[in-house]
Amino acid sequence: MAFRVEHLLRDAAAARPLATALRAGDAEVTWAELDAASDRVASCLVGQGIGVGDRVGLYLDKGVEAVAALYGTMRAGAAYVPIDPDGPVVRAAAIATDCALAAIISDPRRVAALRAVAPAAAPGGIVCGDAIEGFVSWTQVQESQPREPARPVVETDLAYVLYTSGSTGRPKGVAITHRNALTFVSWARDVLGLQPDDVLSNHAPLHFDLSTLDLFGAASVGATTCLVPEAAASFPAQLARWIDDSGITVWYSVPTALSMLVRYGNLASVPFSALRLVLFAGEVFPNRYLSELMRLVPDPRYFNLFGPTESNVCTYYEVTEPPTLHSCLPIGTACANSRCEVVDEAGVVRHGIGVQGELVVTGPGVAQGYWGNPELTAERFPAPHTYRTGDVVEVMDDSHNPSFRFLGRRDQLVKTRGYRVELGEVEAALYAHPHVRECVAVPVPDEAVGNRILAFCAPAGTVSEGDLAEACRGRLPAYMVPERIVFVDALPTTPNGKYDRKRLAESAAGLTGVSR
Amino acid sequence: MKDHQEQTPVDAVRQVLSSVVGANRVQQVRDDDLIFEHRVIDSLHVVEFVERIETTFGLEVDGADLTSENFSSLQAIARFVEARQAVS
Repeated sequence: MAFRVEHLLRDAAAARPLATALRAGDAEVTWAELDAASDRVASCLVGQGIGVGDRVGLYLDKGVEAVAALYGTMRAGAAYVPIDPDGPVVRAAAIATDCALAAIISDPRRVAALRAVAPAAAPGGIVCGDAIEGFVSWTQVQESQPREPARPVVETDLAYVLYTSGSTGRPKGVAITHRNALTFVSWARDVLGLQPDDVLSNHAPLHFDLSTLDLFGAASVGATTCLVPEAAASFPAQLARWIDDSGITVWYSVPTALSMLVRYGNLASVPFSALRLVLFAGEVFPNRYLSELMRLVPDPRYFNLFGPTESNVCTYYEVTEPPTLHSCLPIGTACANSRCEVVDEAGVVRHGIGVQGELVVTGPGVAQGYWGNPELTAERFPAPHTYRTGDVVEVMDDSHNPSFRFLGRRDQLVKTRGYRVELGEVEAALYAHPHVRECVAVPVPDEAVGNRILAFCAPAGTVSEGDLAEACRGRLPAYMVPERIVFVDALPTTPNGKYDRKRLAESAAGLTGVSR
Repeated sequence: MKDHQEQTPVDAVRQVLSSVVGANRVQQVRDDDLIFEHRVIDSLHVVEFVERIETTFGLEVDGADLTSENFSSLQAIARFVEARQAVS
């Protein structure tokens, strides 16, 4: 019985030791090899005093080492905290500090960068490359003596902490237990009918929760995960051929990646002979591109998966027909062992066709809360295993397990390229610049990427758009940086004195219209 | 602002890339550096970059054009743009 995420690895290695677990570029490892590599990482971490209740940062490029590191961390009893290896080092340091990492698995270059910003953020751990002070090199890890965690690890311990955009400008860590993760993985395995001969793509980075299906779904049946090379991901026609050549049977990504394939992938010329499932999540897939994709690649089954990191995927919908242009694709029904309900403003559950309100998810898949943030946890997790999503949905039928339609957000959270962006975090980055008096960030809906982010700024003193953009880039991941920053003398307000975000969004839409 | 007339094609491409990923990121990039392998730009910003190339140089990029050969470096992109402009 698998009680913990790393049990999936142990079981896959026992059942299919010589089957390929992971392909990453030219590198390929079997389940037995990945199991052994993870064991050595775990032993090394235990030897460094890491154990139950600790967090270990993963701050390195995606690859065999990173995957062995995440399993090894869990096997040592600690939770892994994946940090965007290409993001600003200031943000990496903020996450490392917020999470009080006990160790970090990284490389010498990134450790040096992190230490330059926040000396306490990289307390020690493992580096891929030459050993540096306080760190064990990957070569030395291979010589670790087998060690078991000092205390038993149980399913209610944390498996990983995923950081997402926070509205106050501080990223927030969603704390996921082994039980949370396995609830989701068990659902995915059953509904998708995952098989040992499946080959799952991994397009999403490790700090994005989509990656957990690719890795742990595959592990749950001893299938193969194929990491999409970043170079292939950037060139749609090459990516289409890569999917076919790699024998991918299950593709999972944000809609932006699939829209890119539809627009530039020359899909009609690729047979996609092995592909049986196309899964997408993270944001609304524009009907235009989804229907074109389904016509160009008609054989696989298509699934719309829905759910914030806090609840994991909580609803799903199989798309059986290409959607018409103006229809609204349902987000579907609750996943196994999850209860999805609609509540009104007073928090009372409402039933019946056409009822609109906030989606609330209950079940063992729902995260424990936000790391080190009891106030925000209490606000959004009103009871254990219950999460108020902030998503406004509509009930589509009156069955006991109804289907839902997504209408929008209650707050300032928008999606771009599948990523969550709290507009407040963008504004906080702008406000950190001394020459910003007032600012508002607004989304401009866009079919290719979901939303483009623009900002309006009333300056204090002399500052250029380029200066502010650079300041944002120093603090925010690339997808959060406003595409344009428009200077105004003053920001418009509503009669009750709030910024008139609606009016600003409208003028922003006009601006992007003119520029293309 | 630089005078558009004096700009070399590589400079013009550099400017477009800067507008997508920021001047700081592009500053140290040499003309023949592999911009995708060095993670100057990531896959989720490719569409935006291509769209800006299209509007800036008044050309259309299709799936067959968007290859790692044509878009490997600033120099390669400039060559692609020039070849395309010579045809039209």
